Amino acid sequence: MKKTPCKNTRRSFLAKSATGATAATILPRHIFGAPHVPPSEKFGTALIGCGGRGPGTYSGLCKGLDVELVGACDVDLNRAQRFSQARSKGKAEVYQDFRKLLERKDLDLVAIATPPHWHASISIASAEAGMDVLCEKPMTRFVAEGRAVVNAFKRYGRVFQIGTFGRFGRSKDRGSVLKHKIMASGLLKDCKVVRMKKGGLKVKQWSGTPGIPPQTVPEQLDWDMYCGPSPWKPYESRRVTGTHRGYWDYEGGGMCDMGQHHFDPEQWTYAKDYTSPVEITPFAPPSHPEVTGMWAWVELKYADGFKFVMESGEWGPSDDRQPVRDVSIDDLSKEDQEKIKATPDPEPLLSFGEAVKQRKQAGGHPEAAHRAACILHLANLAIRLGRKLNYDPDKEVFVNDSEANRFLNPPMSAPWRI
Amino acid sequence: MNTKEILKAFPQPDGKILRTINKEACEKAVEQIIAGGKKTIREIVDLVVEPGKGEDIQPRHALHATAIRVGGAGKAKERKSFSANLADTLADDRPKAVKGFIIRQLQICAGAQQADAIAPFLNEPDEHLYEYAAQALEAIGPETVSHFRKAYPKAKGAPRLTILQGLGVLRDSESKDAFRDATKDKHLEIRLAGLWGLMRIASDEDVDLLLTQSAKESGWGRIKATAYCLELAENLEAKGSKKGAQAIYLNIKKTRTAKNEDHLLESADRGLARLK
Repeated sequence: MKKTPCKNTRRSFLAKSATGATAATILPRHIFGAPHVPPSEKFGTALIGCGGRGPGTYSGLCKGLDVELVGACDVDLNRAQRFSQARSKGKAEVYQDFRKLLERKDLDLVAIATPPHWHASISIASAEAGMDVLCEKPMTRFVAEGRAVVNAFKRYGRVFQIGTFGRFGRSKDRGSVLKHKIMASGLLKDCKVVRMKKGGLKVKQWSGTPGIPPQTVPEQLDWDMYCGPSPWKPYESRRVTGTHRGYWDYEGGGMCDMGQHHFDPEQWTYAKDYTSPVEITPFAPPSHPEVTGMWAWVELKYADGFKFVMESGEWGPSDDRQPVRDVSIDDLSKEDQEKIKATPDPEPLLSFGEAVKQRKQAGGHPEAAHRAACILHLANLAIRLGRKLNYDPDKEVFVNDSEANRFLNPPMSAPWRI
Repeated sequence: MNTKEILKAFPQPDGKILRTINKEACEKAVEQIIAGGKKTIREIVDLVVEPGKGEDIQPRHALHATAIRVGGAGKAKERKSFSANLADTLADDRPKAVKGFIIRQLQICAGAQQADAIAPFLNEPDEHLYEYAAQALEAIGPETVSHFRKAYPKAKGAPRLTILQGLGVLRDSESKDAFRDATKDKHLEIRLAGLWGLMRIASDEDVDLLLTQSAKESGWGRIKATAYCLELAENLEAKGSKKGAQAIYLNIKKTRTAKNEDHLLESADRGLARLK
């Protein structure tokens, strides 16, 4: 398949318009005083990870933009070829190694729908190569990856959007906007809010299968590349194509599969986009070394007293230690209620397409996506470790638990590193 | 208590998942394993087999559960004892894949005292033992760096890259010369690991080397090497060396003029604005 470079890329458009950029998070254009003119040029696009979620994620990337698919990449070449055929009649070049794809000079936007153990490394590399990114959830496999993604997108001024969109609806819902304003105001003293997520985290569905004998690697699959930054393990087919979710090496069970969908909008509503819980208390049996398994409940408490509780509803006892309680304007004094009423609504959240065109931050930006992923990682670590954990959300480390800290930034397999 | 009886607390898969697991029974078994000490741990390790060579779900689960549960405050004595007993089994005649599993459990709980038992595998290419050993030693921390230094000169192939990367993970300033030599290697990934190690150590004296080498690279190498230059600038800035950071940003502005590198100019501009 031949390379078909887009003649007029967003980059050339930006190069024409960008002069002497200085501050700003994402950049050019409007910040220099020029009127906002959406670029008419075509954006060169690619999908990395063409399996199950790939086509849907790619459609999300293209929404509202004039695009041309120039590359399709997957460690399983057959899948890349199928996607190229379906979306470009085979014109888009196919790759098995994303590094070669990112060398293209006609590429502007990348959709990432690999299993999660690749999300951070490919997101960072894409930003380093100058691309804007829409990345499937969960954002990362462990906490330190998220901070590295945040830093990279800040360093290069690129747009990042996580592949979950519930916060966009919440940000238009009057009740949620009011809750957001109350929680963001800092006026609420002695917060007693308890938010419960009961069920829906697919605990049994995405629990792995231990003890499967190694199998022969299919000819079209680059298994070493699939393992990538995760520890190398012998191939067996349940480690790929969706069932990868049941392995600690690649995802983190239903918690990580579904959790970002649930907690990302909750995190926006309760104004927790820039912090993380400080205490995490689990009820779970000892976990298996390879596969994800059962748990009953996890409570995550923030510094202000706010609590998220998740209950699996699929194993073990219920968490009936405290009643569910939402925030209300009546929790504030009359004087503070007036202050909230006088507070302007938060800025509307920008979709990925609008953020790309306006060179502004998308609604599901890196810091928010990272903090939402942290909820899942911290909950999963408490489940795996079987003990209460105390977390410093500024330093992003556990307090007085060096063994637990080993899971926040586990070493990667060379040559992958963050 | 008989070891095989202890292991019965851990579930066999019912269908495809471990849904019948009993928390209290497993936790009691972990206590029994800790109390059983060296003999019990060795007996459990003896039941772990190579993948595909038999049924060992329960012993693997039990060892992992114990490695996890000896972590955290107030468990130092149990952690030290379990880690020492588990590390001792690496000296036995066992399949390499089993040793790989043991090393991965030591990554969770071992201390510097176990580094001597793990380090001999840094140059073992079979079953990715070099990778598991490096990751376990990196997790234990900087006190293991001498093992990487010792292993690197003898290393070849994949272990060489992994060990070099380990020296970078541990930010070993005594390995500066090794990193500098690596930046001239014929293999791209070795060159990049060398640049990455120097970036993490962050000395003004390596600014020119990173800038020069990154300009020589093309394609993926240029993308990553340039990224390491920009990260070096941030690291130098954090250390208070504005001069080095400024030199990097000015060089990037001067040299990254291709249309697909405009994001690098923007990044350099932001860096320079920060330094003012």
